[in-house]
Amino acid sequence: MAKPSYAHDVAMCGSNGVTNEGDGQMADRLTTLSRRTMLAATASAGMVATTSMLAGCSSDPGTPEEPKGIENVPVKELGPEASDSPFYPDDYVGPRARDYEPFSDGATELTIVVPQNSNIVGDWNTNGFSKWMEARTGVKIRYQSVLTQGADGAADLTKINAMIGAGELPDAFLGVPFSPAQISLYGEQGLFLPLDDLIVTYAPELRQVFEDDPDLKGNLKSLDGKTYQFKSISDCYHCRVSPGRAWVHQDHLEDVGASLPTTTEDLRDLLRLFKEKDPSGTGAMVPMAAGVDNRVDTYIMNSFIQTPAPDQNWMVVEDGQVTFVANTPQWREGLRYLRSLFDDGLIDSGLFTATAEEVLRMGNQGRIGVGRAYYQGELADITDSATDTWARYVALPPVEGPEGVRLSCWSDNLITGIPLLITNKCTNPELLVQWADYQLELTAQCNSQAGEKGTDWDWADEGQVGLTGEQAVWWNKKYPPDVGKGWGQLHIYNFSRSYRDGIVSDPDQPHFERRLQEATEPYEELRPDRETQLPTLIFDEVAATDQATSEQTIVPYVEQAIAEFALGRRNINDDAVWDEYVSTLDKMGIERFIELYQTAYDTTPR
Amino acid sequence: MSRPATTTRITSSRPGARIGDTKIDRAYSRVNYLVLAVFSLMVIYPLTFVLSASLSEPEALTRGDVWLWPVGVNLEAYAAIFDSPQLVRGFLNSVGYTVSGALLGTVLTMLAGYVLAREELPFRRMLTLFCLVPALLSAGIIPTYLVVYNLGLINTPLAVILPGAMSVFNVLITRTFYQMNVPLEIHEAARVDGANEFAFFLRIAVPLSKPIIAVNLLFYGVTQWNSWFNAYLYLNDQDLFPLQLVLREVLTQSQIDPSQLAGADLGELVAQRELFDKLKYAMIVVAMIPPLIAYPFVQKHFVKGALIGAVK
Amino acid sequence: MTPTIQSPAIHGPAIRRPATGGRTGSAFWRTVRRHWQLYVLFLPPFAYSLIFLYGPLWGLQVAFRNYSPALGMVGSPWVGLDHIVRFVTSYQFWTLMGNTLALNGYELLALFPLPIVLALLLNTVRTARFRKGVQLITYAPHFISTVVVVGMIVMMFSPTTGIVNQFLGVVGVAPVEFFGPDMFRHTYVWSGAWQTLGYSAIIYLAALAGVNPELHEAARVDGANILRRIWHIDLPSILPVMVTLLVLNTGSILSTGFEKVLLMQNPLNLSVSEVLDTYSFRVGFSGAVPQYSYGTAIGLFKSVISLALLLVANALARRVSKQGIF
Repeated sequence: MAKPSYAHDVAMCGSNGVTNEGDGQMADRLTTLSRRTMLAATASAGMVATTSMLAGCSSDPGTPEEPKGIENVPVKELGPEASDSPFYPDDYVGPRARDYEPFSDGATELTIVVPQNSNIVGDWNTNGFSKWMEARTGVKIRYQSVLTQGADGAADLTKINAMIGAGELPDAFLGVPFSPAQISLYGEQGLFLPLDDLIVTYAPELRQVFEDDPDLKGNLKSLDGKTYQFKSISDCYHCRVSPGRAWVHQDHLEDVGASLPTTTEDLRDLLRLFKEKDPSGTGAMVPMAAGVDNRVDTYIMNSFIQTPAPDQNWMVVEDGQVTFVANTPQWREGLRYLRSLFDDGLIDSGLFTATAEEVLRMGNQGRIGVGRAYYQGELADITDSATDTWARYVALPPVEGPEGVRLSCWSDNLITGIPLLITNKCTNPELLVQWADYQLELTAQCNSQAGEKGTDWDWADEGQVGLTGEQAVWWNKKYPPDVGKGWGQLHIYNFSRSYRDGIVSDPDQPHFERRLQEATEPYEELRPDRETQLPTLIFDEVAATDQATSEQTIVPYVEQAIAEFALGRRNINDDAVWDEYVSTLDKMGIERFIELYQTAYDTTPR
Repeated sequence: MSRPATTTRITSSRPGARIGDTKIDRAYSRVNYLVLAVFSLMVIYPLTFVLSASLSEPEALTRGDVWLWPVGVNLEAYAAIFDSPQLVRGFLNSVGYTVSGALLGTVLTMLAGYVLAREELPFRRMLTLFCLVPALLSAGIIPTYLVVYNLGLINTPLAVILPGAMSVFNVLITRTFYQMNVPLEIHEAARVDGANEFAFFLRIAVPLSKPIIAVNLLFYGVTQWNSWFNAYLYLNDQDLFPLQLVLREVLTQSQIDPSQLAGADLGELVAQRELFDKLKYAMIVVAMIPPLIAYPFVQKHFVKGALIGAVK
Repeated sequence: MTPTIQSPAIHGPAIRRPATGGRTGSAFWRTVRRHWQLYVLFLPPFAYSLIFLYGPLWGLQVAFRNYSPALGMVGSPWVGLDHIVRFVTSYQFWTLMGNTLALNGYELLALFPLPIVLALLLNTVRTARFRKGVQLITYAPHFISTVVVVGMIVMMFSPTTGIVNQFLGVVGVAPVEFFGPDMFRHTYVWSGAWQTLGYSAIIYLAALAGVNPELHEAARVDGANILRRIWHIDLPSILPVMVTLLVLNTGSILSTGFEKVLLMQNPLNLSVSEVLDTYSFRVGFSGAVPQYSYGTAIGLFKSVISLALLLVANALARRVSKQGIF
């Protein structure tokens, strides 16, 4: 039978991919696919597509009216510093412990849809942090939990969208991973309430965050210039280059008597040494590993031409003009270099086709010399011991190409977390805005993160140091806390740089995040100018559909071409073959594709 | 159609070679055994692997050390499964959904298949087309959700069972079976005897179709057992979740997003993820057991000639 | 003499389709009335189909709108055939159709006959325990989820870490790229056979249960060997089931077990592995905003083609084997 599992459903129904079962799989895959996109998006600029009903007649998004706040309601100010406050390092910027009074009598119960999470939160309605929030704010919430992740941990909004489609709305969604594009779209379509005025009046903590980071305010806006999301911020330093970072096995490096390469030719020599001397002793050394989840071009091509994270689709900005780099002469030089590595027997098809599991297996067997990965855990299992394989991987900074290009795949774009979205069904949005704002306070943030103060976490003692060697703010006594104590990262948070650095870290055995920071520093020095990086974009209605279609034509083609040119299946040295590649991109509509980005670049509020 | 008036042998197996076997028969038999044995060995490999993986140390799994036999045997994963009240409850819920889904689907399918098999019925082709059309067309999740929502079935066990309860594919197969095994002659005879359609269906057609009933029960049961999507879409109350949805939730939370490592004790998180990797295999084993136990009950109806006795 | 066995599905000619043709209205309605009990029996499945299968179909209009859940079905703007046109004129349209037909056609050719063979083989095994054991074993892989199955395929056939290629290396054969463009279809189809043959054979085993053992006995007495008996007794008796399945499967030739394809795709094999379902999924759902309308439009396009194919297959089946699904 062609359809193996026919009882799965009417085989032909499944055929449409639109029966329940089929759609389930579809939703399932949606998340699998988007895992890469998600990770990339957290790490660098997410590209935002949105369809706008107002696209045709939108007011000039460049000059939105300043929100004035709610009339006749006194502006709520930051609370006084709490008596039970930590020691802050000098120049600390971020959430602080403050005292607030409850602001609701709990007369109205509000319904919030939240992600189901049995590892950390457990039952939302009896959770410790839920109770703590209720006691502190007076707001009564009924939580309805929905599974919002696919089997691979990425967003799966099938059920949420079905609920919206049926008009089955709660007062708000918290922690539901809507993409910025969806927020913008549904906001403009009237599903979510604009929060600008409410924030001016009721959200002192968020206003403080805006003050601390002036870029933030514009970045949360939709195409129509309004803010629909009360959003979490995470200033994650090491994430900025995750999609383009490479690692090298330090012991292997020393064993072959090499030092960190600084040019592409050094890198070739190193790979050759790995290949010839086989420091792994397995007879099957893999000089360089990458794969479908971790593309190699974000590292290698940056020695020839500025190459951004995968989700940016090889787009950079030159003097305000969006340009595509994967059909340039410099790109061709990069491919020639890869081809020469292949001719030298230093890379094989696995560099483009290996799955994450394959890479991890090779790494655990000690066979990988250089690896392109987000973090060490993708090259080897992370353990408690700093002498195990994973800890031997150190950052391999970008190398300099023959023309002197040496860049990192860096993104300065804002990294945001989960949002609170208030729906048009809610009659007390001001309560929810205050409630969300409350979560930005430091004690609340730590309680959600780490459980109960005193038993699970506490303020750092004076003199204890954080990641950067300054005074630490807080530490975990027991992590993760027992199920049902906190919300983990499903609250509204402000992980400012200072807050992230504020966790106690033993200088002798540094916290894991410290290792990632160290692995990021050499990349920061080589980052491209911020003006050349593609910012987070929002596409209008027509563009969003076109963008999705073109993307699925062009991106797979370029990826395929990289692999084929590198492996000699297409001859990079043959001008006719190269011209055919370039002209195929033209036929696929590369110009229109760039144009879509240009328009979005010009119209997205910043 | 001519059938012998009496049946003397209604045996399932013809043990050993028998007198009268031709040379070709004997050669065929040897080849047959060989082919089936080789194929079974090929199939048994993944099963063994899954079982071994569920019993091995997680590190051995990610290192790729587990090929056939378990490495560092332990029962951690199984202990974790049986410790979880959610999983145990999910298992029981699944049994409930599977039994009721199988029964409902089979009843609907038998009725539809039986009626559509009656060639003399006016509008028969139209009714067949009526069944076939929605199998070719489907509007997707949200419209189906709206139907379930408007019927007030959200967050009830019926929402798990009803959507997808009847498969057109199975209806058409069942119809074919009826056409083969309940020939019109029997029906005409019964009619002469004065049996009405309901009586005929219950007393003659149903007993005659044990194998197809068994197949329907199996296919609907298996589908229901393997499915999580209806439950995911229509249930809010975790106490109602079937096993597969609980398993799915467990899997979703085994992922690590490196951008969220702040404040995390990585070793512990990774250990957790490794356990999940292993749990994945243990869960497959646990979820596979009920269908495997059920199969022989279905299988026994596939015995050759099982129908013949009933015709008399 | 070879026993001549009539296909059990062929009925007496006297009662064929009495309802059609130029009958008088009253005679026709009399026939309808005479069968009222049958219509009553059909009522439950009819009601079920109406509510749960036809009920959602009004949602097909999504294909002609720019659907957004926030605006609702009727509130979303009408765009007519835009989505279907965009799909049919897209750069990849013909590649997609070609890949889809090649992959699914291959799968149909390979995986349609094999369960029949398996069932026939099992059916002639004389040792009950062996037969039951083989049935149980071959049925079990159906319960391993696709993700895990693909994981195991990669584990075995990976060019870098797979055990098969390591073995080939030992015997001096160059590694085979089982996931490369040349091998992708084979790997996909034959791993499918490996997982599903046993489950797919069940339906034929059930059909074979309807064969009267007396026929075999009689044929044996007449000196027919096993192959002739299979050909003349077993095969005709499962022919109607085969035809039904073949027609239904032909109708689904544009559909792929797409989760498996997605999991097996890599940049090198995309030129053969990108099929309708994966493409529609990517464009429809992997973007920042789900394109429900585009996905539904592609589904509708597929439905129309599938319906045509199904009608052709049905007509052919009626002509060749005197039976079809309607």
